[in-house]
Amino acid sequence: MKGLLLKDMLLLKNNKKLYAILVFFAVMYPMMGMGSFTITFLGMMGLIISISTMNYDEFDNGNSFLFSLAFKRSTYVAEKYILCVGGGILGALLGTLVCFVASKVTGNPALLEGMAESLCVAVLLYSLSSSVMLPIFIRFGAERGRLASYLTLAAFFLLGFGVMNFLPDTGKDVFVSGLQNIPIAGILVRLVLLVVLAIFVSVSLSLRFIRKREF
Amino acid sequence: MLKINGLKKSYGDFHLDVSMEVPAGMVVGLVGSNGAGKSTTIKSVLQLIRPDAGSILFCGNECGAGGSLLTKSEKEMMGVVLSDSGFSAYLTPSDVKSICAAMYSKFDKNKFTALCRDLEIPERKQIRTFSTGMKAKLKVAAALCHDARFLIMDEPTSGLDVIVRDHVLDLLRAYMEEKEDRSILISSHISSDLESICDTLYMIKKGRIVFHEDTDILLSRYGILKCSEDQYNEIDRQYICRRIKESFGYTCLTTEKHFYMENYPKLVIENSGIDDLILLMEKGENVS
Amino acid sequence: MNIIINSSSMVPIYEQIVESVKKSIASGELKPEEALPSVRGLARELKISALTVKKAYDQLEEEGFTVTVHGKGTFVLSINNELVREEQMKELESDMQVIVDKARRYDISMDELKDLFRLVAED
Repeated sequence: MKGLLLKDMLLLKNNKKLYAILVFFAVMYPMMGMGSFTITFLGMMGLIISISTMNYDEFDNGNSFLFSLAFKRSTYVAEKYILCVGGGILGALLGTLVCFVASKVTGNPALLEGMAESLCVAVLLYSLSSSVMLPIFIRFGAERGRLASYLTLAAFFLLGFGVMNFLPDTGKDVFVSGLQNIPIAGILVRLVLLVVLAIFVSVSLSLRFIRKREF
Repeated sequence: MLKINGLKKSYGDFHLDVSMEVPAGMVVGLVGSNGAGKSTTIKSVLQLIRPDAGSILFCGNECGAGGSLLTKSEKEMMGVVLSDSGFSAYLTPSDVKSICAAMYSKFDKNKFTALCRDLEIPERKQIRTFSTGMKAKLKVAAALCHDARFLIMDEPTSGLDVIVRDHVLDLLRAYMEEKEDRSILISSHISSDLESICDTLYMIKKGRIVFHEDTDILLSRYGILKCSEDQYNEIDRQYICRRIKESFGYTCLTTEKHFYMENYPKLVIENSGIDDLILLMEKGENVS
Repeated sequence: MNIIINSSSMVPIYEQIVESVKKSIASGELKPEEALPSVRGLARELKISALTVKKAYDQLEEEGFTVTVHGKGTFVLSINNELVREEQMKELESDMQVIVDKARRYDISMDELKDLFRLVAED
């Protein structure tokens, strides 16, 4: 796996322009007071950047040669999951850190509002997205899977963002009071279990798909 | 090292059905026109595609239809060069060095650096800036640096000029000289390359092996006869296996050129090479 | 040892190698107990198949000029030049037999053949 991770890291380091833009937004959004958005945004970017490594793999028929190299197909799958789930979590954590720093720098306490919730939502959301996207990418290849999965991801993103910000307050109150009947910890545990289950199913599917794939 | 038996794969109208062997210590050449089945065979050995039927024994392990997946250590024993696929174009040779070192336990970084220098491959430029020839050189270099026991190469010298080809072939010969039990399976369109390194040749046509002979015998015993229609009808044709109709009569492939040299001194007889073989096998007809 | 191969010649390459080695032994260029290049080494030098070299080495051993020690290499056997000479004469004799047979087939008399021989020998 070391070789595969190294390959992906070396490929990703070429995106300097993209990273500069991300840094720009990562600074701008908190400055504009959009704290939780920063977290969801960076988390999503982390996931997208990680999964783009599959595009690099596929580019110019590269997969044929890649899969003749010395690694097991199951290792390839494991590496992609670590990269994508890790990328999403890392992005979200980075976003959280940026918010925290920005709140100290600008003295805007509103930025800290909903930070923890956003972080949790982001982590769970993007882990779930990875679980959905990776089997699709592995089965159909990066190009064909890309459209389907980006649509899925956009839907998830909108859902997440919408849940956090656009529910009318009354709806939120109802939601919240309803939730208050279940302790937060309980909800969290159930969500985490759901995501873990999703990842488990997803990995099994991906392993099955990769073993059948021809290059 | 490698034994292929009854390997079958079908794509629509195309049906592959081959049996061949690469013994340890030998260089085996594979020739055939595009689409004949060379790449399909090679990809089946590498398990990039799954055969419909047949056995592929690699170092005694069954890897064909119904066999097991190649283990990591088995893959480390292979050095691979494919014609239409390579390392990602956004990597540099220096990146390739690091990646291979992490993937192959016996990868020799110093040897790779020296080889890149020798082949004039710039270490820090991205592969997408390379010419076809340079890309080919890098592929070969990467395959030679992890002490692979078995090199499997699909057109490793295509896109290279004569001088560089000579250099690359010499690297391959040196590679064989270093250890007794190494083997190479090499497919190529450049016949002179194969003639200068291969011990045995297989020719694939429409998914089947149509010719299998030691290079030495092809070059020393086989021959090309050129004769008029009359001459053709007069001579003893028991050692002629293929012929092509020409304007002057026939060009024939014989398995015993010395027979004809001694008995028909007036006949035009030439040494045969892989190119002649391919032309006669592809375009000629059988002589029973 | 310098072996030069004529790839355009009708003489099989392994035979050319055998001849070249025999000549080197006869001339003293290759001394007894001296090692010949390894099979792969010579194949590399001459840019030919290793099997061809092996064929040549096998023939040399069969004819008593060399001996191959497994794992160590192929070595020239102590041999006197007379044996080499004898070998060469034997070869010429069989070549001549071929010519004589051919002449008989074409109904060319032995006298005519001798004249022809003198002509060619004077070239």
